[in-house]
Amino acid sequence: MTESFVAAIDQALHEPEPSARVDGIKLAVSRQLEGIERGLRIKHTEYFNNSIAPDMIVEWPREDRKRFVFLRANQHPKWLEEDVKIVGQSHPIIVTLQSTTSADPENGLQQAARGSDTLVTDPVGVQELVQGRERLAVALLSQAVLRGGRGLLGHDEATNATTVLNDGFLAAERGAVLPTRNATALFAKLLADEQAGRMTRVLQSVWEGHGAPPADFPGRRDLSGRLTDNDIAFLVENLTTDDAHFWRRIGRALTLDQLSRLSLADPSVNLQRLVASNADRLTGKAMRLFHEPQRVDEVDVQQVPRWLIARGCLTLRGEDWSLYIAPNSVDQLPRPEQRDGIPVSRLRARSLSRSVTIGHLELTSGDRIITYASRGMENVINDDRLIDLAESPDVLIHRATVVLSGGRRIVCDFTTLTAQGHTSATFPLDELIGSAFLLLKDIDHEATLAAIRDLTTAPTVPDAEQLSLDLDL
Amino acid sequence: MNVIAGRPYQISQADLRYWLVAGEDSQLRGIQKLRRAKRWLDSSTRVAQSWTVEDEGLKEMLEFSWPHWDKPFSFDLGGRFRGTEHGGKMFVAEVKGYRAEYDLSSHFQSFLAKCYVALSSRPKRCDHFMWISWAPFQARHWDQHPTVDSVKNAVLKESKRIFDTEDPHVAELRLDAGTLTGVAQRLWLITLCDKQENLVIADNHYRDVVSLMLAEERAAL
Repeated sequence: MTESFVAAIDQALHEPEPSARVDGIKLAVSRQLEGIERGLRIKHTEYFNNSIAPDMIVEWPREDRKRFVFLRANQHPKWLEEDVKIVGQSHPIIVTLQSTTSADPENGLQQAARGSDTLVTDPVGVQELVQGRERLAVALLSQAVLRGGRGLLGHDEATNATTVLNDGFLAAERGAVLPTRNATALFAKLLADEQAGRMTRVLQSVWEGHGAPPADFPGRRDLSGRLTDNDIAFLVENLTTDDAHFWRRIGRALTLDQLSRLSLADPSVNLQRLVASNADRLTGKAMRLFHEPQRVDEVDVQQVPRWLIARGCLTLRGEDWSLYIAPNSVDQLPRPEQRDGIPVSRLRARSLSRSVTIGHLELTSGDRIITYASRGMENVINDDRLIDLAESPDVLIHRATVVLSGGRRIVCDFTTLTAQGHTSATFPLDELIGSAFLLLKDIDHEATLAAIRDLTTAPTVPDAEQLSLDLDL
Repeated sequence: MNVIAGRPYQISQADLRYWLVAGEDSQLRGIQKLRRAKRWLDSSTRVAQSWTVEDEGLKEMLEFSWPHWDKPFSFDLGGRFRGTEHGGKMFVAEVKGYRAEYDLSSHFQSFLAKCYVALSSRPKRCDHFMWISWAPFQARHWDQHPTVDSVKNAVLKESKRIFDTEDPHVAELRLDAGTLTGVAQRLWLITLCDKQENLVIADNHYRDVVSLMLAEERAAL
């Protein structure tokens, strides 16, 4: 990869026909940028080397973010400085096609670029960032630079940045102040405010996540900028702390949607911590249970049940079952298998043993459907008439409506083993698991039940203490 | 080797040309005017792609060869138009930054001869020939500049490099009438003034104009 970008640019610059040369250059640049981050969308415009219109547009569809990229065939500092003054108000990336061999004699370009949050880089500078992306910290920095890098970034600057960054992350793990401070200073210089805040937060999380005192962190505390999917994945894969309060702060702005997109190795100890610590504020729309025996590659995994990410869903994995949870729509769940429903007696047993209130039932007997409900949605599970029905072997329950505190309702469908709320209602994970799931599935072992509770129980933190610890993560 | 901002800094020929104090007809002024001409054209919103003889890796696209001369020649500026009228058409341009007439007339004649050679050898790159200067020349005969006769006279003056003969009769027999007409029809004579250069999109409209330029493009896809 090291030589390929410079070589691809060089090859394109030798295309004899202008259109082939322009297309070749754009393709080489966009492929290199795509190498920095998955999920980018890069559009080529009809423009090339134009004074006012960008050559391409980098888009982050999930973040509703975009950034213009201007290609420049002339790398003279004065020309580039004039370019920055014209296009700098769009805070773009300017990529010169040749390596910038001459420094900026008056420092005017550097000042103009930093002042307008414009990144001026060259093939070697970009390549240096892409090359180092195998290290997760460098990958995060590369992605931050793509979103909000500023100033000059040639080979020397990129090499220096990756060195300072790696030193800073290693130092944060040890709680060493100086290299960590150098890294936060690098972020402030190289990145516009939002991305500098984001990277500083990640570093701060590493600092705390390895046990250093939060108050000693050598960087800004008034941080803004939401953590991206990659930031969360980085922290989950790299931290060692089991401090539930820490994981709760990490997850403060986390959504189930974001969590479901992460690509994480299974088993992940930190995923258990992250989900459990935020189980009362991660909300889901629906969940579906499947009978799924252990796969061959799971045999060595001792921990069941456990959280994992599978089929685009946060999943609670049991010994021979998987519970998929959808953040926004039942359509995000794997397709259901059709079942007949369950006997009344079994539902009664589950409801009584787990203290789940049921206010509405839909039963079938042959080709007849019976709706059984209380007017005020009180618990009907102990009704004598229902107990009578339970003795009829051909009566099955298709649906049961769980009544939660405040009158909120979750409908459990036993023909598809699916639970979901009405209309747009969503529910915290701890409620979904603690009520509807326990109706969908017999949990016979108390140890399993205790483990599920552990996986869905957020730490109890007094409000005042929470505020003092809150880093606005 | 100099050291600037803590780094070694090799002054290149291009830097020298840019930084040395220069006179009226210096290359410095020429390069600055070239830059300004490019920006003015780009700011018209009707140019999609443009490159200059100062652009490393692109300047070869402005180079052409004399049929009977070893050294190639180059135009100053080139690119491709966008929009309805000239969309997709390519242009090359000569940029002269003089404030007064000086020897513009002879430069223009040389330009016409080069246009003839360029159109003969690579017509796809020569949909339009632009002469961009900041001063007119031979203004009483301005209407005669973009004519077939003017092109013909210019080509005959370069007969050695184009036809390998200095005999005007032989050279005239080798002239291609279609190419002479083609050059005359493709000529643009643009005379800029410093203040006029600023009559382009204002800074506070920049983002909106660029959005429109890109929106039109998306609609066309």
